[in-house]
Parts: sequence; C-alpha cells; structure tokens
Amino acid sequence: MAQIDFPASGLSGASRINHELKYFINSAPAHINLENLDDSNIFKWTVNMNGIQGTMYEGEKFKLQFEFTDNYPQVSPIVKFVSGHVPVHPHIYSNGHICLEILYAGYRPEMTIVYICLCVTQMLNKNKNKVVPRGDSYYSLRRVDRNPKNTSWIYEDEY
Amino acid sequence: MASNTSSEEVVIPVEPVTATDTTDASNADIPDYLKMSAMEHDQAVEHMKQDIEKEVSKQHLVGDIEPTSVLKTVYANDDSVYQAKIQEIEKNYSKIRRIRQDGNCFFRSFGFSLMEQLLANKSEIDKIKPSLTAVKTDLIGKFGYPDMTVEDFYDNFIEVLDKLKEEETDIEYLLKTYQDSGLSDYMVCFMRLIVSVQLQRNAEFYLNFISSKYPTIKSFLSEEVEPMYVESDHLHIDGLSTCLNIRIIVQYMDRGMKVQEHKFQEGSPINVTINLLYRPGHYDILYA
Repeated sequence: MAQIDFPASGLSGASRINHELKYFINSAPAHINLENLDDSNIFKWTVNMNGIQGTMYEGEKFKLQFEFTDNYPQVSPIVKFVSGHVPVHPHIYSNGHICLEILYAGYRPEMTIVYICLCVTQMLNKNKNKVVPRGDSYYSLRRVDRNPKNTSWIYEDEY
Repeated sequence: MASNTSSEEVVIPVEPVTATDTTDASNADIPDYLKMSAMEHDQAVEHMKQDIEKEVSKQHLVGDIEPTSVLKTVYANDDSVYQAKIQEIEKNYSKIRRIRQDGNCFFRSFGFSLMEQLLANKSEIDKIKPSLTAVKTDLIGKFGYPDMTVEDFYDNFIEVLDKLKEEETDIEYLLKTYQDSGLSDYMVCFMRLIVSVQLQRNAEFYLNFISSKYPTIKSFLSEEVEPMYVESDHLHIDGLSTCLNIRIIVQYMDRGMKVQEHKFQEGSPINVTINLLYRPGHYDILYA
C-alpha cells in the first residue's frame, strides 16, 4: 500500500483524498480493497470489489475506478467500472458507466469513497435479473471511455 | 430499468444514427449538429460548459466593498423598475459586496458577513460555537453522517472562527480565506450541513413548506440543500438563521411593486445582523 504524506497545502483535493485513504484502509468492509495506488497520482483509484455471498454476483470480481479532481470533494469524482470488469446489471452499461443518482445529481461532498462503494454494492445485491440495460450496445459504443458525468441520467430505482 | 438520454440522444430517431452513419451523404435531412461524430459532439458540449465556467470564475468568490450605485450599471438605463429600486436600496445601504454567482452565493454571503462582523465583535464568537458543535454532534450521532468528512468541514469552520479572535487577524485574512476556493467551499459545505441538521431536527414542521415532489425531508436535503452549487431560497435562510440564532435581513429586489424586506430571527440576542440583497437567483452582502 502506498504511503503518502503530503505537505500541508491548504485544502486542495489531495488533502481530502489523503484523509479518505486512511479512512478507507481502516474502515472498508472485507469485500472491497484498494488496488496498489500509484504514488505519483493519488487522483486515480481502482477499487477491487468482490460479489457478495448469496447474491447473483457471488464469486465474481469487479474493478471500480475513481477519478478525482483538485476541487474534490465539492465536485464529484468520476466513478465507473473498468472495462472487462463490469458486472452484468440492468443499470450498469457494459462500458462501465453506472446509472446511480448519488454519482451525479445526488452527489454530496460529505459522502465518503467507502459510502459510494457501499451504494454500488447495494445496487448489485438487490438485483434479481442479470441483464444489460436497454440500449446498452448503442450507448456503450458511442460512449466508450467517455465521462459518464456528461450523460443526462434518468433514475428509476432508489438505492 | 435504467435509461439515459444524453442531450444528443434525445433527438436521435428510432433507427440509431451512429458516428459512421452521419458521414453518409444520403442522410441529407439530418441537421448539422447530428452529423457531428459522437466525439466531436462531446467536445462541443464540454467547450460550452468550460466557457460558462470560465465566465463565472472571473468573478471573485467574494468581492471588494463597492458603492451600491455600481448596480445601476448592471441594468439598462431605461429599466425604470430596477433603477428605481436600486435608488430605494441606496437610501439605507450605501455599500455592497458582490459574491460569485455560482449557486453557493447565499452561503458564502452569510459566512463572510458573519465572520466579518465577528472580527469586529470578538465577544460574540463563543456565543455561536455551541450551536456549531451541536450540529456536528447531531450529524454524526443522531443522523448517521460519516464522522470523517463532517469533522473535516467542522474543523475548518472552527479554525477560521478561532483565528478571528487573534489580535493580528484582519479583514485581509478573511478575504484571502474566502477567496481561496478550497477553504471557502469547505465553509459552504458545513453551512449546507447546518441547514440540513435544522431541517432534520424539525422535519415535521419544515415538510409543510416543501414541494410535494419531495416525499421526505431527506430527499429534499439530498437534492436541494447538501449538494454544492444548488441555489438557496427562503427555507435555507430560515434553517441557517434559526439553527445559529443569527439575525438575517434580506432585501428582495425583483420585478414586483417595491423592494420587500424579510427578517429572520429578528429578536436574536447575538449582536450580528446579516444584511443581504436578493436579486432573482442571487444574493450579495449589503452595508449601511
């Protein structure tokens, strides 16, 4: 695990990310863990996520990626699954984009990374129907690797 | 089932027009903006957003004190309704401090004006602290907010308040603090949480004033109070004013008959009065 000690730099995104890092290591539940963090770029995290026992995703492994900016936490991070490690779910597109309100309009600065991971987990746990979203191939084709925050989402379920 | 309708997809016909389709000359009736490739379209949207953000970010988060008459230049000379109202406001408030129009202006105006007055009136600082600490305690203990992030916002707020007590702290310090987007936004975050606590503590009462599209206080808070850059109205003002027991007087200036004055927590024993000017969608600080 990367040990990062930043010089006091006012309240840039880095100071909160550092704080999150310690918190994540101390309090993340067992099914998620942080992939080796690149010391030179703490603004990009990859979180390994295991499917929970007794759910449709038991035994599966996913990768959730967080990209932060310098004005984090006022501005939400970009959160998406990494291509090739995307769960099959009616609200998750195969390019990794997730239709979940708290990632976009419902984002609040007091949310922690752990909390966001738990919301995504809960979304998986509650699913009873392993299908891709309607229009997935079309959307995913057009929006490969592009920022999901630029999509106008319509939320149908609450998590 | 999730659905997404990005701005480009709203106008897409039933037969999807993919990036390669748009280069086909037979699609002559497709408007130009649809002929852009997906990537070009994204870039265009991104540029437009950046232009707007750039324009807004030219404004100081918290500006310098100016004569109230500066507002006259904001409205057309022949806009008799607004020009007359500005004159009316000038009678009681000769100066104004303009705040960036980024949706956080009510909170930033309140926070700056409060601390500016506390700087000149240091004995009042400790009268406010117990309510701030109670906010933190309730958020974490009663309403289950994450302690790590709430404490960050709280600590930052208290640190600045404590700094105001020091002899050498001057208005320059306060201006610098509020013009630093990191520090300034952290204070806005905490003030948004103060409103949130106040509304959660008195959910039944406040629910009477909330649009029925929000079935619970919680849903209102998650969309209209806690996220940054979301504009404030009467309820936010009442929440902040009541929770901290701070007097706020707002001059409402719109197309209506005359300037309307609204007072919040008028009888507060704390020797601070936040004077604000409201113009549709925006708040600034007024000075007598």
